[in-house]
Amino acid sequence: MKRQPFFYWFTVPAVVLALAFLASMGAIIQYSFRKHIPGSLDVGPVTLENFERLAHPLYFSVYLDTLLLSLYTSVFTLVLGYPLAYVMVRARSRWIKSTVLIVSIVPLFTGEIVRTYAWLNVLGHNGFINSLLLGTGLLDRPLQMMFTPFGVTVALVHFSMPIMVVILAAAISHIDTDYEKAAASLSANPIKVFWKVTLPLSTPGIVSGFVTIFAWTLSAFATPQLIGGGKVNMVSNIVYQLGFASFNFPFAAVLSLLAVMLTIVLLLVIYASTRRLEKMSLH
Amino acid sequence: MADDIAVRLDRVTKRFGSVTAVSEVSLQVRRGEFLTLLGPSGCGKTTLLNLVAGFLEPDQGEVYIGETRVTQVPPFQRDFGMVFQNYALFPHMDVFENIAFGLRMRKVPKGEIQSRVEEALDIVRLGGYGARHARELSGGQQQRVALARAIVIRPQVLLLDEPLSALDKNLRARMQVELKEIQRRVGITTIFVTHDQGEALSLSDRIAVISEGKIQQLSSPDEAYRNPENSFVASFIGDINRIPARLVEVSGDEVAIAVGEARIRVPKARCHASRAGDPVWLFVRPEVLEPVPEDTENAILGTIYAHVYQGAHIEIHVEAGALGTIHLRTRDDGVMARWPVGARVGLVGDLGGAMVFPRDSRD
Ligand SMILES: Nc1ncnc2c1ncn2[C@@H]1O[C@H](COP(=O)(O)OP(=O)(O)OP(=O)(O)O)[C@@H](O)[C@H]1O
Ligand SMILES: [Mg+2]
Repeated sequence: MKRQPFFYWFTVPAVVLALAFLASMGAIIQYSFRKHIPGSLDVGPVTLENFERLAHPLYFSVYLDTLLLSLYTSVFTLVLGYPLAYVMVRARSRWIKSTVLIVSIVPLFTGEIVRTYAWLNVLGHNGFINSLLLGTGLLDRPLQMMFTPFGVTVALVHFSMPIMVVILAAAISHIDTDYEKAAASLSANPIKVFWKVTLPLSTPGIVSGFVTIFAWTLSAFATPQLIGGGKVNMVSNIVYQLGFASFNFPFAAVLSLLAVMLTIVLLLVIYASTRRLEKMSLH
Repeated sequence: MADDIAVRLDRVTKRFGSVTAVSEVSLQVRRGEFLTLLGPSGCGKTTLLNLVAGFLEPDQGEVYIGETRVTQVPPFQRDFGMVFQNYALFPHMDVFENIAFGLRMRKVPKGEIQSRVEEALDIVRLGGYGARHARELSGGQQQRVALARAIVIRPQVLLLDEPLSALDKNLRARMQVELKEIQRRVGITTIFVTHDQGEALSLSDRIAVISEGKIQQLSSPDEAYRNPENSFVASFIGDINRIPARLVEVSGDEVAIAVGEARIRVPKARCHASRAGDPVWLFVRPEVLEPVPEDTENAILGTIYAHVYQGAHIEIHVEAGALGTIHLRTRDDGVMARWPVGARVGLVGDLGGAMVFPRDSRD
């Protein structure tokens, strides 16, 4: 069938977006090879020294911290999100289903900044947790939670929860309950049914949920900026400092490029693992 | 309680909202017997099976498996095996692990698991298929793995919910024979659900014909075919003509009924209506009727409407006005030439096996 000319008009927005992305990627790549001139917004001649600077242990530790924070966040989000998703899909009562749905999805509709400020009120020296612990006499000095990796992780887990729950719930709802009934007919108690049947059959959801949150946390900015307060730095925060405090665009570009590469590697991992799982005919 | 009863339902009722899916059903399944729950879609067969399995709890009544009352016992503590319509083989396990699953859950020793799984594979003629994956098997093979998985735990009762309905016609006929043969050899009590009366007739020791959540008749296939207890069973089992008629008189051991212009005599034992003048249904099998010239005394009159050639036999559809369409079946191919489409015809037959049931006069 010959396509109508107007058909191509639908692709225009996609092409414009792709061009915009390509242009900004091009700018980043271009900047990463230029010399930084301190005190100037302009860049100098072509050089490789920005990449050499990556070898500095400081940056290595920022990437390591970022990867670790992303790892903790995705693990905790998974462990806390799975029961929520499971109850949301399998609970008999509509009331429980909708409560869980609302509790886990609502954070999606509050902006990142608003949500992060809410955490300041919970984690701060005069915040909810410390007031509670001090008030009940369980502690005599406030617990330091702001500006710690712990505080940042808590806020990131909260931030990531809706996505995780949605991905897991989709995977769990695809599991035919006949498998669980079959296991029960073979004398498996509910705990065994969960471990031997439901959980293994939800691996595709677990893998994609985990990797999605990992990649999503790698680029977190506002949460570590506000809750980490300069003491907990992720890649985005360092890029921001270099770019907007020292105007070192070339080095900021190198750090961003590396982060983009990491994300691409992760996406390849998702792709490869879902292919593997499809071969196992799980879905 | 008699120990030759494997499953007993005692006045069991199950409602879903305003729908009563199972209504006061009492049923005793004998040890080693092949019992079929037969009925149209939505009559409550699956619900009944789920009540035995424990996936549903009855609103009233009690369920027993063997000697034990299990009404409130969860499925995993009941002693049954089940084959699902879509087999539900675990996709993350190979054939061996699928079959071994129930043995592992029941904490059977390792060495015994190996030999019992192999024995089960041999029973379903899949020896050597242990390492295969479920998706590498044909529909019929998956079916047999599902059967092996259910019987390897040697449950007191095997529950099968339309296990053959996903198979094509030929394979289905082969699996019927095989299923019956395995069931007989293993000697396992079986409750089989189907809406296919042919399947029910060929497989079962007894058939429970169900309609609207109630058992209409519980009897051997032969009884259900020859002596249906009501008009529902008569119309559901086997091909049969249902012809509106009127009871004229009861005399001695015969009754006379008026079918259109014809007067027909039926043995009194075959008549479930009692008062002269009552509207009735006359049930006659198509193979009993034969075509005769229309001036034959007491023949039912009609016009040949169609011939349907079916290889082993020919079906003739006769349009009989207010009596509706009447089918007859014959092996004689000469019939098509002698009674062409459009010809007037009379129908007679030996009505010793016909049945008469009361008819609601609005029908
Ligand atoms: N979980 C349920 N919720 C509400 N109604 C139900 C439920 N399960 C069954 N029913 C209703 O109960 C009745 C009996 O259903 P059941 O599934 O037992 O029929 P069936 O004889 O197995 O039919 P089929 O041959 O179509 O499988 C039907 O009217 C059905 O709509
Ligand atoms: Mg059913």
